[in-house]
Amino acid sequence: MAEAVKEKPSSFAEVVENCCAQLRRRQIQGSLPCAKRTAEIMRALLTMQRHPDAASLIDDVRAVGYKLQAAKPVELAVGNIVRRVLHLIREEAQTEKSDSEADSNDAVPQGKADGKQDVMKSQGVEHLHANEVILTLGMSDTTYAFLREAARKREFQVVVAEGAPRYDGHLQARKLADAGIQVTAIPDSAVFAMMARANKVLVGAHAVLANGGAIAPAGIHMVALAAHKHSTPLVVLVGLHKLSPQFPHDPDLLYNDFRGPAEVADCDMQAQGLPQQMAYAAAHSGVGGGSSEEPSNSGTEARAQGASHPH
Amino acid sequence: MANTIRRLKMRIHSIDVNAPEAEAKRALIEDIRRYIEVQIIAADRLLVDCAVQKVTDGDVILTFAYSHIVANVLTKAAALGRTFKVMVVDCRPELEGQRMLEKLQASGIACSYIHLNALSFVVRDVTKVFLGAAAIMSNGTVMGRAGNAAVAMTAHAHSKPVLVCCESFKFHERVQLDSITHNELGDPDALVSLPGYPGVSPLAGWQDIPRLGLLNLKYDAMPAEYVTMIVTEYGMIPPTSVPVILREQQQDASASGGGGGM
Repeated sequence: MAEAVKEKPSSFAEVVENCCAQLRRRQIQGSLPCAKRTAEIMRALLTMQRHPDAASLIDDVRAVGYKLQAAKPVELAVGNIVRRVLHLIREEAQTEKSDSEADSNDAVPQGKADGKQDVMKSQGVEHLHANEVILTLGMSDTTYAFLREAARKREFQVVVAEGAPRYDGHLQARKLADAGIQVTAIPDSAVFAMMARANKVLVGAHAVLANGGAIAPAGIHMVALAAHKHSTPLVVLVGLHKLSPQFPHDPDLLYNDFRGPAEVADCDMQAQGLPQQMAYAAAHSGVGGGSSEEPSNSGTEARAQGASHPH
Repeated sequence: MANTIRRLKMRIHSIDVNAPEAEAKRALIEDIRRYIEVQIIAADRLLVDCAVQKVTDGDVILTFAYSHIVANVLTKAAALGRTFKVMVVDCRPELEGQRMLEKLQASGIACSYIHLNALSFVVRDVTKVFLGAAAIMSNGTVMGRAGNAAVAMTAHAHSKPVLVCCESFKFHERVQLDSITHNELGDPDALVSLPGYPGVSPLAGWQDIPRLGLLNLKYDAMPAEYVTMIVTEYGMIPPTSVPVILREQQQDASASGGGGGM
């Protein structure tokens, strides 16, 4: 708390504005850092401004929460933390009818991190048995911790799909192998083939929605469909800060983020298509025509049909 | 390929033992040439004429990696003046879709290029899926480049028709239940090399790590339920009709005694 006082400029509004700018510029990456930062902002709000009663505090928290969430609508963890804080405030207000204190807020950021570790330690061993083949996609700290804990008592194999074009599956495979687990790294195209061999699928997610669907890095939908086809259980490992009450009608469009096309098609390829692209645009101008070569690296986060989807 | 080798062996067996070697060789070469002409080149032409009927104006066609027959179908359709767009799906480590992209762009077709992982996002805008095949088993299972099955599965989940273009010489009477029983392994080091990626992959030096293995599968098996239609030189057939074609081919082969046109 002391460092928050030292590094802040004059007013609380500037603190919020700084955080919003960082979110917009994607300087804070990942749902856990975003959640922690939101919790810190909430704590600063409580300490730096006096509120006569719970109602005005709730109004302020909600206003700040809207601003933060609007800075990065894809990052649902921000809204989740704000909702938790509001819930805690309302709880406190009910138990003590007088002014609500800041002590309820201290539990929020610590609780997130610790709660996750305990879950991993206890449940890893329960859900995996010996000689199983676990399939996973890309890199997830939660999944890595889960598997590493379970590997202390169980012997199993892990198949990691690389998760192009991020290729974070390579890092996951290396880390798991260094932790002593038998790992096979495969390209994403082999996921359907290897699903016949897998006993379980364990993945992390960016967020989990109210209808049970999960938002996760691109490729997860295909893994989920293949798991459904082979009747393989799909388990999504998330921290509590990722559970969102949002119920979107089309998460592929609403909660999606795009990255640069250079990761998929390098500049030579794009240059090759450029003359044709311009000719196409000239021929179809005014009709709102698209370009003739669009290397679309869309869907960095793509919704998965989660375990609860009624297939 | 097993089909072709088997027919060549049958043909060799059926050669008269007393015939002079030069003449026998000449007859064999003539048969091989005729096989290529009939089963491959002419079949391709008929197949393309058949499949091109299914490309209509305003279509958004999805295709995966490189298949020469699908490329021919699409270039023929463009030559006939149909207006359509193509979405080329590519995957690692071969990145064959770039070859398909070049060929289609050379014919002036409007193309988009995505990686396999982005498929579930773009498939909603697709109207038809054209895929190639390496072989088709007698229960309708389609063996294709790794990733083919995932494309068909996603298209099926979004109710898009999947057309597999495959000549009849690729039909095989074996039944395959999953992708792993018969498959080919590619070079595992191809997974480690990441062209255009800043830095080195964490998998570099994987041979020295005892618990780490790399697997580069070349093919996978697409179940028949994902296939709407198979286009062959005999016309368009459902995947359940593959054994019928196989039976007719066997009857033709036994009737002609393995000689005079493989």
